[in-house]
Amino acid sequence: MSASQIPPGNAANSMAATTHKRRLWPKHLHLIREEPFFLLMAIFIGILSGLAVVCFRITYLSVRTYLLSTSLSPSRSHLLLVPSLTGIVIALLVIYVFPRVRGSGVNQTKAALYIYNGHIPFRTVIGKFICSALAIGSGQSLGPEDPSLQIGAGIASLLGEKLQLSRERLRLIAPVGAAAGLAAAFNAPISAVLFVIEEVIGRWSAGVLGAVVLAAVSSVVVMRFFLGSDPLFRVPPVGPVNPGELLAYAVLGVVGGIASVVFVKMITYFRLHLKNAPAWTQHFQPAVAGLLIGFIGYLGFPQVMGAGYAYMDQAMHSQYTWEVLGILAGLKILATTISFVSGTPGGMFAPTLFIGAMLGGSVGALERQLLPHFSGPIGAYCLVGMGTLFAGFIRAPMTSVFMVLEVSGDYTIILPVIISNAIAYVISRAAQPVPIFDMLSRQSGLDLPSMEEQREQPLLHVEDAMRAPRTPLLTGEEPVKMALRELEQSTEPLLLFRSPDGLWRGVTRKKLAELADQGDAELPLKHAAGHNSLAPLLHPDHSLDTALRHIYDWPLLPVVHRADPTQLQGVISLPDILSAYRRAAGVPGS
Amino acid sequence: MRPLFLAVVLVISIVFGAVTVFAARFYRSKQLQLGAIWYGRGQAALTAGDSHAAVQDFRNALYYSHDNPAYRLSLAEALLSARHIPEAHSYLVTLWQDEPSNSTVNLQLARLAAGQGNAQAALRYYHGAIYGLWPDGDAAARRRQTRLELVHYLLGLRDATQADAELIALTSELPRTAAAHLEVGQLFQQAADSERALQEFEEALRLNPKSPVALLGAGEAAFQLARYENARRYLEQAFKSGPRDPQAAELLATTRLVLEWDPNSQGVSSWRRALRIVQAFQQARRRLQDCAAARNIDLAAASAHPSSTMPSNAASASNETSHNLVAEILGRIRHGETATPEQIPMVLDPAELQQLYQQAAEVQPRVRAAKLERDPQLAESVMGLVSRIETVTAQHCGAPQGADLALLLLAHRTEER
Repeated sequence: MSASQIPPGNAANSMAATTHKRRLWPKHLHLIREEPFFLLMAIFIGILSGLAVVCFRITYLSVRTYLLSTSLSPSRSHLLLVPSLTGIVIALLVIYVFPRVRGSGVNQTKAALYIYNGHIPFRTVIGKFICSALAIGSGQSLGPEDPSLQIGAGIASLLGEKLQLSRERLRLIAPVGAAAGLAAAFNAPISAVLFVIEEVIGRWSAGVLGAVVLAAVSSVVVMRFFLGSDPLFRVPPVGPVNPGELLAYAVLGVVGGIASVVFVKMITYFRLHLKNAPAWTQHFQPAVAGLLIGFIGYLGFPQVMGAGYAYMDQAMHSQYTWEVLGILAGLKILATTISFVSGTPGGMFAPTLFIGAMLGGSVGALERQLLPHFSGPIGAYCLVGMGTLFAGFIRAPMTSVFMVLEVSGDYTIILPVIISNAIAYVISRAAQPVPIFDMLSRQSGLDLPSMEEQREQPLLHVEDAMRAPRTPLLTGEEPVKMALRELEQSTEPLLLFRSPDGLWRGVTRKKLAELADQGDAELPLKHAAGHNSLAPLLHPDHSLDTALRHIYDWPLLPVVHRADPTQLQGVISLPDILSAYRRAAGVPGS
Repeated sequence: MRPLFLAVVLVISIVFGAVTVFAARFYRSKQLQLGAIWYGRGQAALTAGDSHAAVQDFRNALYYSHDNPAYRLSLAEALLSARHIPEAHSYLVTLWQDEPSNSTVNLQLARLAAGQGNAQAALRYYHGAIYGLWPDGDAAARRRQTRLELVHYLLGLRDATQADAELIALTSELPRTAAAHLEVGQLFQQAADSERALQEFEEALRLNPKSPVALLGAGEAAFQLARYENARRYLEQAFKSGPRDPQAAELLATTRLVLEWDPNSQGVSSWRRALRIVQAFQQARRRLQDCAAARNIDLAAASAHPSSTMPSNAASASNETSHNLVAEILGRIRHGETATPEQIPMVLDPAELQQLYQQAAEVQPRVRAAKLERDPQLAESVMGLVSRIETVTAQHCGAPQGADLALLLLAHRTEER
């Protein structure tokens, strides 16, 4: 009863109403429905994640300016000293202060979703912020997107816990924050939403999608408010693609696929070996990684240090020859492997884009050299290359396509992107069945669900389990005793008949026996069956999950034609369903 | 619990937002400052002629402010100086995509396209520059300068028609200075638009009546327009007010010769006119005989063609080609060249010369001053024959000199009219 329903005029009643009102208002607000409240929270998560990512970006860029140089080409002494000395600091922080900041933010968010009921320790968020900023700023070959994703997820997790959301919501709130963090880091909300849906949550539902979209959009709005709406790199005009050029993009797909496989193999191989190395070596691994990467810069390739967006911009504007681009791609694979396997916090999104851009540019520049009047701008190849590596290495095919479209804002590139990404994805899957994030989580001892495996799992339908009925199909005009006789002669748990109105009905053996005992043995089945005899309708394309929902009440279900519900296609029972699952699982004798 | 916490979240968001505003502003100002420092270094390097260092400095500037169009444009210009053409092109195209009406970007793209031999793109970008926006002020002068650059480019491509159209557009934007009109007059002359060239030289002379270059240009333009009286006047003034130019002197000598031989000169009496026609006829006959002798052609041999005092179709057709020949002669005069044996064309058809000789022989008895004075039709017919002889002999035996050159130029003027 609400306060407005209390009759006025009576003082006692009025006081009571006031007291009641005071007592009730928090309860009223508590009754805010979970769904809209969750969406409101998503906006707050987006805003806070956006602010955090802005601060993170400012921090790692400032660290770079103050530690390395204000120039794109730091001095040789800085190249050697800064990454290695900072590596020691990072190692000490990771070992003694923030032990959980190692590893992929994507996997930690997935772990929060599937294992820890949405919990991400806030200390990890702070650790990720500090350590990743130091690592990227000092020149380690890592990207800011993965830490941003985890920072967003951590903020969301903290808010969800403090608000005492339901377990289901609490689990989902970390991916919502992850989408916000990634969207702000990439300045690309669509790609972030797709990535989180495709790689973290793995399912589309209106409630989750709405929250993820709201969080991503609000974080991007915040980020653009503070740092402007310009993309991370300038994309030169792409223009229409010559149909003959698609062959070159197919070649790029092959090259990108092979490079992805090499990149995955190197990371998984060296990471496993370094994990098994003596514990004391962890104190030096980031420093040694920094020294090696600094040495690559010392040799004349400082482009491989840090996230590398400025150099992607330069590659897109045809700064490098195809040989240099190829070398940069190779060195970046090496540098990122060294940085990542050393346990230095940081992400692999930006390095993946860097490698893709350089490989794409290399293929484009080589094609231009061989067929000068045939090829398009190098920038287009760099852009497609980014998507190709993303599809091959991260194994997020949808995200890779939309990311290129969102970053370039040019729809004309869609065909090369699809061709190249599809080829790279197929090659990567063939050569490396387990995606990189799943490999990393398994190496860490976590058995997180693989979204790719889930996508690939065959979905069983009713048509895979249905069979012909073992009793004759009755019309409802037959007497109860005849129906009982038919049923007793078969093994079916239920007798199905089509009543004159065309609907399928069913009666159990028990019900028929009761009718016979009551003296209704001569009564036509249609009158004897009763109103609750109407069977739920199943169609052959329904999932077996739908059938299972009814199987307890209806041990035998009719499967009817979608266009003509009076036409029976078959029947399905629990043993049929179980048999279908056993067949799909390859159980012998099923 | 929830409303309270929502309020707390709101407060945290506001505080966090305020801190971020402060941090972002500090960061942004630092970025802009660093960008400006590197940009300044780049400009200094570019001024010092070290385009490679400038490229590096501008890249650093762009790292801090990668959306700054001025930095990007400077980088593109430095890249052009350092001959990093594909990269410069890429940056310019990106800039153009952002600001298609930016005249500086269009101009750089036009120069690039011109350098790459892509005339169509160059013309499009030049027009983009001319009709676009000049961000750094003095738009009128920059626009004029760009159009002049385009005219030079078109003249380099030998596209006189398009160059002439651009020059016509340019005349409406010219400042009232003798130098500007003089420059445009010379360009009109190069675009073979002598009429407008003369107008521009005369305009320059109104502003600076003693300009020897304008006088010389006006003289040449008048000469090309076959306005020999004007040409003589301008050329004589040019000699009075400036140093003697050997080519101009030859042009003046030719002009005087033309005026001496021209039977239709102003102030010439009918008797004197008739005498000039007789003189011209005799000169043309000599030219015909000399030409035939040089080519070993027997003029007395019977011609297969019927003789006629009227202009023949063949002669009319040959007049078409005589235009080119006259233009060539004018060019030679301007550039101080003389006909060399290599430049003398091959003999075309001896019968043509034989036919002209026959016609000359037929008309010779009537070529008397008294008769010509009385019979204007005859005078005209004789001058027509003289013109054809000079034109055909020029085709057979190369460019004439002296009196024959004057007669050829008179023949050309008659055709023009």
